[in-house]
Amino acid sequence: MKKLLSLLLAAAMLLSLSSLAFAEDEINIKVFHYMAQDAKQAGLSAIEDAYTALHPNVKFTNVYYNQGTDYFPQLSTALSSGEQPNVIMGNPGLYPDLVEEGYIMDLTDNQMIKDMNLPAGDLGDVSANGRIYGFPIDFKTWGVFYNTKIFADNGLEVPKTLTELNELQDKLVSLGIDPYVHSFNDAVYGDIEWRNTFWTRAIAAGDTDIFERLMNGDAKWVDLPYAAEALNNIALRLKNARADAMSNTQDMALEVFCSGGAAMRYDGSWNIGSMLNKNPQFEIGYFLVPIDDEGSAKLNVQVDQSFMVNQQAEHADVALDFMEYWLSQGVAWSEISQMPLNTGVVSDKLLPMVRTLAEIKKSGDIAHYGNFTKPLTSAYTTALRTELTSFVESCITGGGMTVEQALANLDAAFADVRALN
Amino acid sequence: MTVINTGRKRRLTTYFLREHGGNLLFMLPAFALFAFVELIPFLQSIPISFTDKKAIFAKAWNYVGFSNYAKLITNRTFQDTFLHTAHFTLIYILGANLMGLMLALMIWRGSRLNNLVRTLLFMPFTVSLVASTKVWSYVYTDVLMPITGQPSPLGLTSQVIPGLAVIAIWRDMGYCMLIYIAGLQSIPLEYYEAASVEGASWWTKFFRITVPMLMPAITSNVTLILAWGLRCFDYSQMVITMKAAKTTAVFVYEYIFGNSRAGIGQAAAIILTLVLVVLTNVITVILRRREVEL
Repeated sequence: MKKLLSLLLAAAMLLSLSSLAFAEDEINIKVFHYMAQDAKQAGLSAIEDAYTALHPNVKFTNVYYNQGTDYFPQLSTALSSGEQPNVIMGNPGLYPDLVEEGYIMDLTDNQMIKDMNLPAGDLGDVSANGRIYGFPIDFKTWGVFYNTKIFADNGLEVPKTLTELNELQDKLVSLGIDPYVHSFNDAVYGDIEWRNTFWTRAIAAGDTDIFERLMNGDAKWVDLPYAAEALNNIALRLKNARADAMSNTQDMALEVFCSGGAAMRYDGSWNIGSMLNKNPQFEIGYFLVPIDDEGSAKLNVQVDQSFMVNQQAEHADVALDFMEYWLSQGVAWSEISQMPLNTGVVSDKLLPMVRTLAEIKKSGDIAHYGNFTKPLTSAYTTALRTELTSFVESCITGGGMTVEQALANLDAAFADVRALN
Repeated sequence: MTVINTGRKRRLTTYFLREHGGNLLFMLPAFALFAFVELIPFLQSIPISFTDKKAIFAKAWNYVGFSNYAKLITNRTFQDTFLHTAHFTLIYILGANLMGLMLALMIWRGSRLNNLVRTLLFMPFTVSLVASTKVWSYVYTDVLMPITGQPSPLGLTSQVIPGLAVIAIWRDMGYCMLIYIAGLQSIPLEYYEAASVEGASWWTKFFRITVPMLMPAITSNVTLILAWGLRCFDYSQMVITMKAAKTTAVFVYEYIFGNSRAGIGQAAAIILTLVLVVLTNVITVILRRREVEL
C-alpha cells in the first residue's frame, strides 16, 4: 500500500513538473504603445493573433497609455521598477534616455529594414545619434478632412490657394455652416496646425537644424519669418471657430464632424479609421492645406508607428521576430488601420485618400520631419504646444495676442526649459 | 540626581504608555502603511534632488548640490505653477467650506428626507477626480454652453482655474458638509434657547454661537482642503494644454517622468512639500488659537 502511495505521489510530482515545463514554454510579449485609435488597436490585435497562430506559445499583452500625459511616465516607472516591456512604441529621437541607458536594440544592420529601401527621412525618424533603433511601419500626416456631401450639396470646390481657402470659409459661414470643428483640448492640434507652414518653409530654406538651434538657444523664434507666417496662417483658419473649439477633445470633435456638424476638420491621418468607425456611411475627402497662393505647400510626413525592441527584456529575440513579422504583414496592418505604409505599398481595400497619401509620399515631394537633424525633446515639445495653444485661444476668443508676442512667448518658454536642463 | 531623574523618567514613561499606548497601537497599522507608501519613498528620494539625474531609470548621475533648487526658485514657469496652485486652492477652500457649511445648516437636523439629501450630496465625493473632470467637461460644453452661450471655462485662460475649482468644490462640498453636520449636532441646543430668550437674531446666534462652536470642524476642513488644493494634480492634468492651469504637482510629474529631469522634478517636489507643511501648520495654529480663545 505504501509503495503504491509512493508511486502515485511520484507520478503526481512528475505531472506537476511537466506542466511547469509547459508553462515555461509560454512566452508573453508585452507591447507598450500609445495608439489611442480603435482602428489601430484592432490592427495590432490582428497582427498579434496571426503571429500567435504561427507560434502558439507566444502570447501578447498590450499596454496603452495616452502619449500626451501618461505614456512615457508609465514606461519610465515600469523600467525603473524592473518591469521590462518587450516592444516599446516611439520614435527613438523623442526618447533619447531609452537609447542612452541601453534598453533599445540597435537595428542599423537589420536586413528587413534595409530591404525596405526607405528614404533618409523615414530612417531619420527612427534613428538617434546616427543609428537606427525603431521599426518604421507607417507614416502620418495632417491636413483638412472635409465632408464631401456638404461640399457637393453646396457646390463647393476644394481650395488650391490660401485665398480660395479663406473664401471657402466665408462662403460656409454665409450658408450657416460651421467651417471647422476643432479640438484644442488635445495639445497636438495646436502643433499640427502650425507644422504645415513651418516644416515646409524651414526645409525649403535649408534650415534642417532649426530645432537643434532653437533648443540650444542659437536661434530665436522671433527671428524666423516662417514662424510668423505659420502663426498668421493659423489665425486665418481660426477666424470663424466654433465656441467649443478650445474645450473639445479629439473624440468630441470627431463626433461633431462625423455627424455633419461642421464642413471641415484639420486633423491627422491617424484618425481616418476612427472617422469611419464612428460613421461607416460618412464620405470624407482630404486636401493639403494651402499655405500661400503659389502652391508651395508640401505633404508633411512623420513616421507614426515606430516600434523599438527592448534588448534588456527576456525573449528579445522573439520580440524582434514579431516586429519583423509585423513589417512583413504591412498591407494587412494598413487595411485594418487605414494607415499609409512608409514603403508606399497600397491595396484595393484602402480608402482612395489613403492611397493618394501613400503615392504623394512615394513621389518624394514632401516635407519630412526625419530630415531635420534633431527632433524637439519632450520638454521643448510641451513648451511649444502650450504656447501654441495660448496663441490659438487668443485667436478664437479675441484675446489680442499678436504674432510677435506669441513668438516672444515661445522664446521665453524655451529659455525656461533650457535653464532647467 | 541621576537616580531621581531616572525614576522620574520611568514614571513619566509608564504614565505616557498607560494614557496613550492604546491610541498609539490603533495608529500603528495606518502609520506603517503611510510610512511604507509615502514617508519612506519620500525620504529616499530626497538625495535625488541634489543630483543631475535625468530619467528615473538612469543608472548614473552626479551630485550638484543646491543648484536644482537655485534654478527652480528663479524659473518663471515654476513660479507660475505656484501662482496657479495658490489661485486654485484659495477658491477651493472658500467654495467647499462655504457650500459645505451652507448645506449643513440646511439639513443638519435628522429626518428621512435630510438623510437622503445628505447621501446624494456626499455621492460626488466617491467619484474619482478624473471622472469628475470628464463629466464636467461635458457639462460645461454640452449642457451649459447651449444654455448660456458661453464657451467652456476649461478652454479659457482667464477662467480655467475657477472652472476647475468648481469641479473640486462640487466633489468635496459633501465631505465638508458631513464634518459640519457632526459639529452642528454637537452644539448644545440650550445655547440657542438662551440666546432666543435674550432676543438674539438668527445672524447673531450664527456668529456668536455656531461659528465659534464649529471652530474645530472649520480647522479640520480648512486644513484638509488646503492640503488637497496644494497637491492638486488630477484636475490640472485633464486640461494639460492650458498653461494657466498648470499646477506645481503637474510640474513635478512632468519633470520627473515626462521630461526626464528627475533631479529637477524631485527638488520641485521637496519645495512643494515644504510649502505645504509650513502653510498647513501656520493655518492650523491660527485656527486652533481661535478654538482656544472660546
